[in-house]
Amino acid sequence: MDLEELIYDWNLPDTSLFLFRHDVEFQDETLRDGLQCPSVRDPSIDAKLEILHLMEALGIHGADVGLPGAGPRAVADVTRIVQEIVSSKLRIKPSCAGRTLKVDIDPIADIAEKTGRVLEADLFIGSSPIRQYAEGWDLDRLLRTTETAVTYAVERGLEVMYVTEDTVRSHPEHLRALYRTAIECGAKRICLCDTVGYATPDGVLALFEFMRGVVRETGEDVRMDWHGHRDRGLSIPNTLAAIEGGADRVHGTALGIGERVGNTPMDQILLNLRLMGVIDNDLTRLKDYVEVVARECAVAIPRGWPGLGANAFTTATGVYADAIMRALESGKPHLAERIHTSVPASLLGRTPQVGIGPLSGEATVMWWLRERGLPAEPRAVHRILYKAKQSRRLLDEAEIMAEVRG
Amino acid sequence: MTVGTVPEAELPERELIYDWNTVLPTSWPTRVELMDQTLRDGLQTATAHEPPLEDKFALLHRMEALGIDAANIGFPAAGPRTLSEVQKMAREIAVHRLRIRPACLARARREDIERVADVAQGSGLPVEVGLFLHTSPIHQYVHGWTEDRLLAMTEENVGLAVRLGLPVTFVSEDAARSHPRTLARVFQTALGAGASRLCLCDTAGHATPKGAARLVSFTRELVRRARADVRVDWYGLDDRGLAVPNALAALKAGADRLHATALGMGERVGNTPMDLLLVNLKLLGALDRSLEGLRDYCELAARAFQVTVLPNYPVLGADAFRTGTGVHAAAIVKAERKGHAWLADRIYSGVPAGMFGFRQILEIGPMAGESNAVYWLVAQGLEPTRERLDRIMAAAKTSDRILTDDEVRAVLGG
Repeated sequence: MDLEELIYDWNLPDTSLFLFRHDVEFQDETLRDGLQCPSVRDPSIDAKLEILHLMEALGIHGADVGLPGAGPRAVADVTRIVQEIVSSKLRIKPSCAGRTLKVDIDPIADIAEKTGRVLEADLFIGSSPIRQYAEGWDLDRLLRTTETAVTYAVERGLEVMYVTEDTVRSHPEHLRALYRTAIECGAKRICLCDTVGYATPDGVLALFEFMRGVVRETGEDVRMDWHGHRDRGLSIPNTLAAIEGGADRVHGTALGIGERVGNTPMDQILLNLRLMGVIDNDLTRLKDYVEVVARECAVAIPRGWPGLGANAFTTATGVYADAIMRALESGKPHLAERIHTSVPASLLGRTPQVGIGPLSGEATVMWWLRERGLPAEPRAVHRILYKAKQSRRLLDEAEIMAEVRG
Repeated sequence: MTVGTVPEAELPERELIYDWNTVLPTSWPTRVELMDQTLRDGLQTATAHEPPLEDKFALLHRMEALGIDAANIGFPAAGPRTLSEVQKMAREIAVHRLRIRPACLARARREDIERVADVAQGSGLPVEVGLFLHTSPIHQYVHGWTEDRLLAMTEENVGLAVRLGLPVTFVSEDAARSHPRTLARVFQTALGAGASRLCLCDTAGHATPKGAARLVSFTRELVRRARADVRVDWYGLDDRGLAVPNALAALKAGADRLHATALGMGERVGNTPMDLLLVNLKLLGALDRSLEGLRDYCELAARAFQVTVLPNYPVLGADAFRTGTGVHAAAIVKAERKGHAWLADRIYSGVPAGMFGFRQILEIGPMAGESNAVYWLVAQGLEPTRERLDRIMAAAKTSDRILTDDEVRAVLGG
């Protein structure tokens, strides 16, 4: 029997992710917003290049490689990364972040001139009333700033993506005015940015519905991006809602590192879209991508991280092992990896793991022994299980082997 | 927006936040029931330690404080030690007259159900039995079960549990990959045999929010046509990272009760995190109670199960309300200068820290601006002089991470 007959899929058909003209693209923010996470270490330039090549291998379309306005070290790193993209002929498209200020735009344009590579400038402005109130700004001032900055960046040869910060708490008429101004001044891309991680999927849908109308009014061919944060734990469903709402490109970072609790995890975006049949990217390098970022940025991979955490494919529960053993014994490993999880371990270059603990049963022990090519000698199985039932955690390899030997 | 020195009480809160989340018409139910699975599925976390019994008691009390309606306290058939601890937890609930209602897990087997009846008898409380059966074709295939066999097992075991006086929740395991024809027959059989709840269990973490909503709507319709007075539960795992949105989608589609665990502990990647579910319900206006006890609940769970809450865990992680970024810090400082804690707590945070017993923290690192340094100095009771600011910023800009308080003090010369 094939898998289609064995899995009835309540998720399908889901046509909502295919409603728009373009395939969705991915923008990797690991090397910019990712590094704003208060717990990360800024990686060495060599590590940044390694991360960049892994993005390329995963089929990620664009990368925000830094905010050159931050200082000389940022300029040096960004320049080196852009040179690497040019010299290695990478397909990934570089962009840089900056405020809507000349002091931030100039260093981006200088790097573009120096490297001979057209750069996308992601120019952001706080658009919500709460920001305006705290900063003492009014809409006229925001409009003038937008006009000056976008016009200047375009004059300096940059492709402009205009970003409204805190979009999900911004007034629609302010957004309309700001985006129309930016588009009239030459912005080719706009980014709806949920800076504070406030959005719910319903909010994202409403926002994109509105923004599609604003873009249509301008008559220009402008692309729309979505940039979300994890504050409520809703970044993935928000990203799916953005795609449903017509986003051309969605942003993420490896392991979701970023400001506060972070951005949308790029690895989980790719995993979910692959499982939903939206993309066909090879995800076996996903593990390398998150491991290099974890190592170089000094962050931990949560054990319960979907698809990539240490526990993602581990079970020690008796009733679970029972079904897996039945599948393995009938020579169906492809079934075994699908029985208990919707994420096939092999999709990520991993294999299901078995542990033995207080909730294990005989099948768990037999599976563990089978994995190691050891005979399931009944007395040994009984000894291991007895030991496991006394424990308040999983037994380690040495503890189990001591019982195997008797 | 005009700017001035408006007293906090008169702050035009509604005007300061335009809420796109409420643009689409959505009605959230006013009553959400919650079932805590920490003391059952939480124990299946591969790298967790099973807490000592006193900590299990303490967790029950924290659940009670959060207003959680029910707790699954274990799988009594797992072995003598589990049975004994489950019995003691049920008695703890009885002795302290907690409002939280106990439930236990059982396979569709006589011996499992009888153990749950023992727990009920020992405590004098009604103990709900979560009676589970795998209903998906992949499980039927692996176990060699026909649909008729599933129906017979359902009828026999639900009937037995009802005769033993247990309130029965019939749990369809792997519901999100089960055929609607099978679900309809199995559910109708369970209802006929006296089950008082149907639980849709997404054991494999397969559902997307649309899938979860479809499944709940289907089950609700089935219950309506059967004219049965039965509640519908949603239980989902987090394999795709969609457990929280799935639970919310299930609720919106008409689920009466949602299952979850502290910190999302559980099998493999884990279960729906109770804490993030509560945070979202609160922010959606679907929960009208204080969540200040959330922090205690999570901290106890982390300590008792010996798991680490990493800095990037939403709301409860160390970085949740911490920033080292200049532009963010500048806005927070400006808001505070206006004397508005409400404003400062929301300007760069979709989740207000104060609502959950936390506060905003500004740090100094390579992304910092002067505002971070000013904030730090003022918090330490130091005048933010030009010289001090220059020293701190020079150190910050050459660091590859956030500076510790001691490092900042050292830069200032003690």
